[in-house]
Amino acid sequence: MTPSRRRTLRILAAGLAVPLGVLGLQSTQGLPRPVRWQGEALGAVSAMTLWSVDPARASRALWRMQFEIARLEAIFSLFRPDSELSRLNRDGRIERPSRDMVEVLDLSRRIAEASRGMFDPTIQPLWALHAGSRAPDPRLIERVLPLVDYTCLTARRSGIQFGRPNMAASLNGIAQGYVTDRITELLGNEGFESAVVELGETRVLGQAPDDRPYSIGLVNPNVPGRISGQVALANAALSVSGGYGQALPDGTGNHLFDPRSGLSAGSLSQVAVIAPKSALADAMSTAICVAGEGAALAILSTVPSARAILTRPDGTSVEV
Amino acid sequence: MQTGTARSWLPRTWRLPGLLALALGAWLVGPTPIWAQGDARETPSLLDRLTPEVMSAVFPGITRLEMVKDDGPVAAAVYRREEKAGYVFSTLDVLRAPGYSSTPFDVVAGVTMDGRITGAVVLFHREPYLINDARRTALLVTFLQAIEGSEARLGAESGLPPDFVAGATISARAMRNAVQEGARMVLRYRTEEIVITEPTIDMINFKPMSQEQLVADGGLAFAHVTNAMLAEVMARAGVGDLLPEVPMSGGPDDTYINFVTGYANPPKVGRNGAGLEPFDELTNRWPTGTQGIFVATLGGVYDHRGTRYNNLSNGFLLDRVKVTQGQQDFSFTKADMIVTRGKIADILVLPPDSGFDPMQPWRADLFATAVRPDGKMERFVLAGLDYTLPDSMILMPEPDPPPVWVEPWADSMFDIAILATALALLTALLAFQAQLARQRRLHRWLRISFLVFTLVWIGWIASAQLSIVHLINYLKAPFVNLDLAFYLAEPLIVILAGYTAISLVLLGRGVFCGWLCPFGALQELLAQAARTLNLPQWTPSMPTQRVLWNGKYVALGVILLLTVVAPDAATVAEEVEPFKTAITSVFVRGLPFVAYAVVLLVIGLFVERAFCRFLCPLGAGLALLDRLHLFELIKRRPECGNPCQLCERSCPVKAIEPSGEVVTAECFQCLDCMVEYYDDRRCPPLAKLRKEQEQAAGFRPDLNSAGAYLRAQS
Repeated sequence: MTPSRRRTLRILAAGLAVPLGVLGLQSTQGLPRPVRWQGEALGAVSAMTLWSVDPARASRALWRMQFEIARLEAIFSLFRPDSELSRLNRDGRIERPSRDMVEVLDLSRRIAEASRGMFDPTIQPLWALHAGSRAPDPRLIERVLPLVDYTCLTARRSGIQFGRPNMAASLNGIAQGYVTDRITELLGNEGFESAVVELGETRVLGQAPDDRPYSIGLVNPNVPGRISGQVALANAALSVSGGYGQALPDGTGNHLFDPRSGLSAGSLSQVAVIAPKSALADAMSTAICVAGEGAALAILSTVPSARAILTRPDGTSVEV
Repeated sequence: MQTGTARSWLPRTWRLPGLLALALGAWLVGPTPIWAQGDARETPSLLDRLTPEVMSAVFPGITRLEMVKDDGPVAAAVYRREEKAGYVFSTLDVLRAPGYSSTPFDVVAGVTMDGRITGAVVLFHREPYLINDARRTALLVTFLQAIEGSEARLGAESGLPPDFVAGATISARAMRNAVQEGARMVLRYRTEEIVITEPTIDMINFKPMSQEQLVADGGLAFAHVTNAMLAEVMARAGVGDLLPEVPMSGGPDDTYINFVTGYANPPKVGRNGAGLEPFDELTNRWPTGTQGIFVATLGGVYDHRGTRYNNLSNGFLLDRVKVTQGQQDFSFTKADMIVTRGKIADILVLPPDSGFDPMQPWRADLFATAVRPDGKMERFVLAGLDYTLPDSMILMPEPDPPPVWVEPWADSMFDIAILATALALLTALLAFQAQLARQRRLHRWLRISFLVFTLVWIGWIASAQLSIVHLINYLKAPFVNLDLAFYLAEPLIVILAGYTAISLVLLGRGVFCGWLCPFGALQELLAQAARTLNLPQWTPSMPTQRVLWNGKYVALGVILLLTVVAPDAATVAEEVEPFKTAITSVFVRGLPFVAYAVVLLVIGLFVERAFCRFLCPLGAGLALLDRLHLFELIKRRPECGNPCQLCERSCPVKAIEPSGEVVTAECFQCLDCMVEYYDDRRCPPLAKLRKEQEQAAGFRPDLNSAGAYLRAQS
């Protein structure tokens, strides 16, 4: 054997030894274990479940995520008088908004355009009208409807402003999804491989540790005590909208309004959208809920690989 | 059943929360609200809502319920055969929890007197909005366990239950929070009306306790006096040759008296000791603020009462007991005694203005009397009992929660200690580097050990790999409105970052990169192995290297630029660092990440620390700041570079210019060159000097050759 061949072999062996060593190291790490946090985010009951071989590291990460959630809450909360959204609604404009606010409004516009206004971030005046104890006067609805118009909302990094006085935005149909996305992506950036983030919407990072997609049960909208089906989810988001979730205090319907009529939409009892990102899934499920079965395909086509499971009031369901 | 076994990684209890929504929803009266809500005045009264169906679900087995008429949270008291069993309340009434839609949901729940949730029914629900915190999360778990049995009532249509449940506005967990919070409020108002702001004597809680339990608990002080002890006490009191007023009976080991005393106002002591009626008299028939000392004789021929307290001539004084606190003595007369019938047990009353402080220790003296032959009485202390109210009788206010960042620091005290020790050692190594560098083998050994520690403990065990992400976070901190706690949440990272910052200003970037970076350590250890195996090493020429060095600045620049213009892309760009893969995740990550890290490590086998020198954005950041450093750790001689190139060749990362100058921005402070610098057999000027000295003087060479050399120079 010539020395040069021996040398080549040695180089090859050393080059191979590194990946082998890495594999060996991997195998010492044991099975990932879940760490879970429960709490509230933007009014939604929230949970984060993170799988890691190092539970201490996972719980530190979850701990830090709560600060990010708190930061985003200070932007999107409708109930904090000092939140960016509240300031926008109060003053009609806002200088130097946060990047997050601009991004959510951009996404809102995208879905609003795709759904021809069925999803509209400026729905808040209608909502405020229905939040009272009595069904609103139809004439009042008539007067408020022109205030619901996303095209009058301009959102730039330099400033956000409404085109008409008394307009107001509600990001309920998208902000939770955005927060879910942020946290899921942060966890992914921290190097975690598997997580289920439920911050109002559900988004899954990676797969379950047994290399199977997570299975997410869908509540049966007609019998809330039962699960009507299961969705396999890996590296994707699931958003469920349904009128049964939130009845209106005035008893006239649910929280999903049709911006054309100003009344509750009710042609579908539940819409579950599966999309790569929660914010988009969130907005699309609201839009489809309002627009009805016929518009589902057009709305879903704005986001590649998005699909939906629609449940009709009679309990039958269809996948789009 | 492949799915059956595959599911085992998901703890069963964690599927529960989702299912619990269904448990609560199982009673749901349907999707339509059963009554129009929105204005408090339109809300039917709680009693109207508590139909028999609701009651059988929330509090089974009760016989009667009636609304509580007080100013507290609205609740109905429920009775089981005339004994109060607990309360039923509605979260709507108690919390009026505003929802996301600013409308609340209504869960009617029952709670027993000791705080156990008996059941809950959702009358209808809307979006919840409740604030959660750690304390309530802990309560939640109790609740979960309490109604775990209800899991049987629900189920999926078919097959196995899913891992998670999604639906529009699943609010089960907020409902549970509301139920817990409501129960606490309802109970607290009625069972302990005072809100405790300072340590308070527990006048509320009672549980039957025996004398033995009270003594063991510290609620009662106990003295056991035998005949032998009596004789001893009398001898000490100087009346050993006299007879006690009450004669002894039996042998020396027989009991003369068993005596207990305690602070009577906590029901645990007063009611258990004296009985219900005397205790009731103390708390209800005496003026507010009256305190009581419980005294009782449990056995023996002697007792604490005697007979003289009945005599007018004696002023009805209870002359066998005296209580002392500080400088103050408290004596008692017959009028101050609440006696227990059928027992030699009394509550001795202290009036509200007595000045007695139950929170301070006190002492009860039990007296006995010896009779002189002339009939004269000699009083002496038979037993002195020191008493301090035990903690179990004191209600403490809820402690203020510590600042949020304290928790991770307290949790990782042990890790912090290890890291602090290691950093102290490193500081010592750098401070005494001249001494260390003279010991070639010690230096080698210490260096490899420290690198192994850095890799295995700092990196793989403690996951404390400082990364460009941290640097960017610190840079961003002034611009984003983030809580300081976000940064403080990783104690080891904070400490390492602080140490790195200080060492950067004093010595340069090498202290972190060369000693504390786990990935750097991994590369250097692999390079050591490669050299041992005699693998070929590629050493770029100085001009090539100067170009390559810029790679890391490019990486840093791209990341910084993207952070400003496209944060999402920046997080992708940050993956140029294999730290997350190789260190924090210990290679348990997706294949592309692992492959990238492996490629870098293989390159490192043939080019020493290739990643650190040419690609690492964190290293680039530190190298930029390195320009500021105050002290030069690496020493130079005039001969360095011209003609001698020894150090330059010895530098594993080629951070020494052909001119002999050290490029500290590229120096990893490994001290390999300093080992050569101090070696009087290898460093040519030193070796020359040593030989000269040996030849010229003919005596042993100065061991401290460097010193000799420096002296020779000056």
